[in-house]
Amino acid sequence: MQSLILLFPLLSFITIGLFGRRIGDLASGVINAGAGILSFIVALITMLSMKGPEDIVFYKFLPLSNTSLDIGIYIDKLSITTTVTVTFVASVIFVYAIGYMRYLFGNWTFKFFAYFSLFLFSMLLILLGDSLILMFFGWEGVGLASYLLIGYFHEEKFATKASLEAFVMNRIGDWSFILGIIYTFWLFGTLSLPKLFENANYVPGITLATLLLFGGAVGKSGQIPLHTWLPNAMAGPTPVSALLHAATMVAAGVYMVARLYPIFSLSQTTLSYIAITGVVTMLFAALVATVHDDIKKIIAFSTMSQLAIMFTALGMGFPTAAMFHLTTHAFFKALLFLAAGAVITGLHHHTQNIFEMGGLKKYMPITFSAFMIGALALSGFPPFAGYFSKDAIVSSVMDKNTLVATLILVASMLTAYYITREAFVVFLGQGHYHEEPHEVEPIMSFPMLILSFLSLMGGFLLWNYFSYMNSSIEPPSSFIAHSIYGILVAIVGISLSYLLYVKKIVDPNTLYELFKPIHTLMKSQFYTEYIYHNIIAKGYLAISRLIYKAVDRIIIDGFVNGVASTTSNYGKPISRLQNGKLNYYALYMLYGVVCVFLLLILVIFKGGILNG
Amino acid sequence: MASILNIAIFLPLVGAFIVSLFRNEWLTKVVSIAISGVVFALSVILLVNFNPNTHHFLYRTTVPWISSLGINYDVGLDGLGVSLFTLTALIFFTVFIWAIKVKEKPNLFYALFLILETTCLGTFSALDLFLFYLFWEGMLVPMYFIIGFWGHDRKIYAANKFFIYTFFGSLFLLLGLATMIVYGYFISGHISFEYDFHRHIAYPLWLQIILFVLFGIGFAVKVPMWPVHTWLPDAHVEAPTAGSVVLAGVLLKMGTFGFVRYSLPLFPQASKIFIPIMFMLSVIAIIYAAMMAISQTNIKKLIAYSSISHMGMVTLGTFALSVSAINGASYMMIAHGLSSAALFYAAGFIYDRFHSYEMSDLGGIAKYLPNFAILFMISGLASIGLPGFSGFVSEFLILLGTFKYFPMWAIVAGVGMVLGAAYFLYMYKNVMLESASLPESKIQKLQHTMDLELHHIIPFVLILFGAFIMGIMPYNFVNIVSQTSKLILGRF
Repeated sequence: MQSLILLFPLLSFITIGLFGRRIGDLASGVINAGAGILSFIVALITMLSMKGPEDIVFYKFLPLSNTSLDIGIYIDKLSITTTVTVTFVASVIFVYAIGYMRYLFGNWTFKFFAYFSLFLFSMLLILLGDSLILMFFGWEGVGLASYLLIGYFHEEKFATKASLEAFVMNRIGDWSFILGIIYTFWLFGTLSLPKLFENANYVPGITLATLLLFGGAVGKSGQIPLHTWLPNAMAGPTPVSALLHAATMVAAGVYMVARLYPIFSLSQTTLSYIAITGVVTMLFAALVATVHDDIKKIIAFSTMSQLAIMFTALGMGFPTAAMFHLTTHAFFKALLFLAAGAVITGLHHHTQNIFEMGGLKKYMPITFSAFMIGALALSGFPPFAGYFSKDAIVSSVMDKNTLVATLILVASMLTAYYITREAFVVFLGQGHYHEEPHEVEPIMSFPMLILSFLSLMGGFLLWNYFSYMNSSIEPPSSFIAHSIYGILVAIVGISLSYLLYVKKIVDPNTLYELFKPIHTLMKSQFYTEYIYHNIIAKGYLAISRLIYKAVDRIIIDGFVNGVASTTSNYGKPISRLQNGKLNYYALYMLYGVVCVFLLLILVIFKGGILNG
Repeated sequence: MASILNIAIFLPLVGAFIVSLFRNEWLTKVVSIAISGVVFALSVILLVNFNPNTHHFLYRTTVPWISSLGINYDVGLDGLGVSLFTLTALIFFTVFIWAIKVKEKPNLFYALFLILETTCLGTFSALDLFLFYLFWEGMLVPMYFIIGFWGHDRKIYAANKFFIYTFFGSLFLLLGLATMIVYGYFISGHISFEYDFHRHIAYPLWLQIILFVLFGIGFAVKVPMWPVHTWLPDAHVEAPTAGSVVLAGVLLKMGTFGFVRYSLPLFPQASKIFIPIMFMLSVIAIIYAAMMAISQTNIKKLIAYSSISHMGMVTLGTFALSVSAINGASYMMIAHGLSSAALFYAAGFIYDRFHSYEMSDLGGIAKYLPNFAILFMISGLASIGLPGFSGFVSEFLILLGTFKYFPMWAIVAGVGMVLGAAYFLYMYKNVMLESASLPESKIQKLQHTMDLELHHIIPFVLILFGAFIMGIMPYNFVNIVSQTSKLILGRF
């Protein structure tokens, strides 16, 4: 029964993959969304009827030094709650995608839905897999699905470049992850999660093992230093961005650390390292987001920053708070992307630059309110969902390390600033359009409605979530009292962007001229993108080509050919004995070899082997 | 069952003789396909009936041949042998189907491939050193003519280079074999070419070292290991598609098979001494060849270098001397046989349609040939070790086995999986994608290009299905090879 959660997306992938061309794009979209919804329903039933952790083994996968590696699914509270969230958000996005992709119907769009199903299936393998190896299957599976989806517009250079970058950068993380898995195996003698949790005792080497595992999370969740693929992944159609950034893919990194928390918590060094990565990435991404002007890229950087906050929480020892933030983040981040997609659709796919937009509130009221709800939730403004989840992290961290908590608050202020800046620029003010923008169809606005509701109300589940996960949190009264800083920074951030971009107390151009070097620095992601693309990637290519010409062709092959030509010069007189006609040689050879073997066969028959 | 093995080995040879008498080209093709199909079916019977709980050679046939010299006709299969046997039979079966449209001298073409099939099958099942060497060398000749006759522009150069290079390696092997026989004669008083006989001789260390080097050179050229690899890219670029597929899918495996079957069990102490050198050469091969791959503009050369990189992984696993690593190495021989065959088919298809391997002549194919695009992508993913395909299982086992005693080597070797993804996707991008930036003339040509035909699809599907099954349900396959690995390690 629980296996059905996995089975529906898999069947959907196979069906659309094989018959998509015949059943058409619309039917494919419906099958994909249907599979997601069914998967969600089964997950929900499983969660409600669950009595305790359950390990369902499918089959023996590999024989490994005296043990065998089995694969199956492991359902416990953490995995099933996350599964419910992921399947839910994914289903909503799937429905929306039918509307969004309609402008491309008739161009093999069914494959888009097939990739979606594959994406969800792989993600569910990560969530439910009962062994690290199955997790790795899902891990690389989402990598593949994201490659296909980011590069969906594969006729265009920008998409192929972005998808290549995403896959290769993820592979760097996967390289670290698989070595971490291998090291874990040698430390604990098993890869099965329930057994690992049972045997989770300190062993020397655990720090290196967990650091290697964390390397996988860095790649998948776009943390520094493996981050540049994440903003570039915006090359895919908008529902892809929503899926990638809300429910699947990037969430996998956070989930993996939370899932393996019994192991990660054995090494304080690793936890500190995770926290440091989180803090640095959180500020880095928030700063970069303040200067970008692509409607989707700003939200992409905010994902990076929010995931970093979750990693900070994980590193500080609060996995439940991190996971709750992951859940609410899935709601409002999906909402923001769907609203951004609605804007792009409303503008007939003409532009994604926010400064070419403006005044859309008039044309697209539903999208406007959806985006505002998402933006306020992301800013951590009460009573939106982000307020509860983020302040659960801040208030927990505050007791442990004031500096880290303060830095989270700084990032939150920047977040409130850049996301409302985007909202104000796009929806308020004036816009001039050749073609009149229009509100989107119900199939796209309904999913936004659902997510708006959850972004608005989801936060109140905080106390239920914590008690369900057997984790402690302050009661509501003191929680709200303690969250005053969080509310304050949100208000500061929002006011700042309101004054700058609505009231225009200072001309943005003057500001731009004033801070131009800093602006360039931040816009180029502190030159990391430049270094990766132009120095590391191109350098690797250039060095390879140089070695090919110098070492492989000239030194090694030159040596070989030199030996050969010397020999053949001396051998020339002898070679006249041969007539040089290859076909003669072939014929002689053929009959010669056949004769030898026929002789051999005679010998065998004489020996009567055919009786044996 | 032993008779099945003998029939499977020699049926293609008999077939070669028959088809060379035919005048009708279609008769030749149908008979060849039928024969290779039967051989494949027989190999599957051998695989299915293989008892994975024994380390003995099964399906054994021993018949005195040249008694005065102690030479027997002696064949049999162990776990690794039966796996490679089945792989060979499968690859040849697909080759015959793929080549159905060959126009130049089809009878000779098919006859040569049938001879080649017998020599390949024989190499993996021979248990007599003389017989082994006969098959080993016998395979050079048909391959030489396949490259020389049906190759592309520089076929003569490539064929000669292939022949001389590998023949050069084989001479060392021959010298090693002779030394071994003579030493066996000195200590036991009779000449024996029997594998089992030599396996039970404890050679003194100095001799082991000499023999390891002699055998090692012979095998290393075939693998090919760095730095004796330069024949492979040239041979591949000039070889016809079917030749490349057999070369990458089967012939390369003979080198690594030789290491596992001969070098490790016969010279265990020497093998141990040579671990650092073998590791060094393997890791250089993995990284260096991956770098060479990405600097190519010729896609066939790129795939050839990727083979060298993957074979480096095999040699690494072979010398890591743990059960998992040798299992992984054996598994990778099969996995790479399948994935590289699929990739060379893809390259061959591109050449058939566009008459070029150069990236600059290609581009944007995916949009116009979607079926091909899908199968090419799957082939590449199988090759770069995506979980779900056999390549991943083997890489995982090799890294796992190597990591236990040599963690740094495993970490460095693992970089290959990043570089592998880079060169494959780079090639795919340049060859298949970005159709928007194509000039009008190319688009017109692409629109009139036919997608895959049935004789292309069957080989692809058979091979990729094999890689897939071995990727998601590896338990039984790994069990079969693992007895061989355990037996080998029992000697250490």
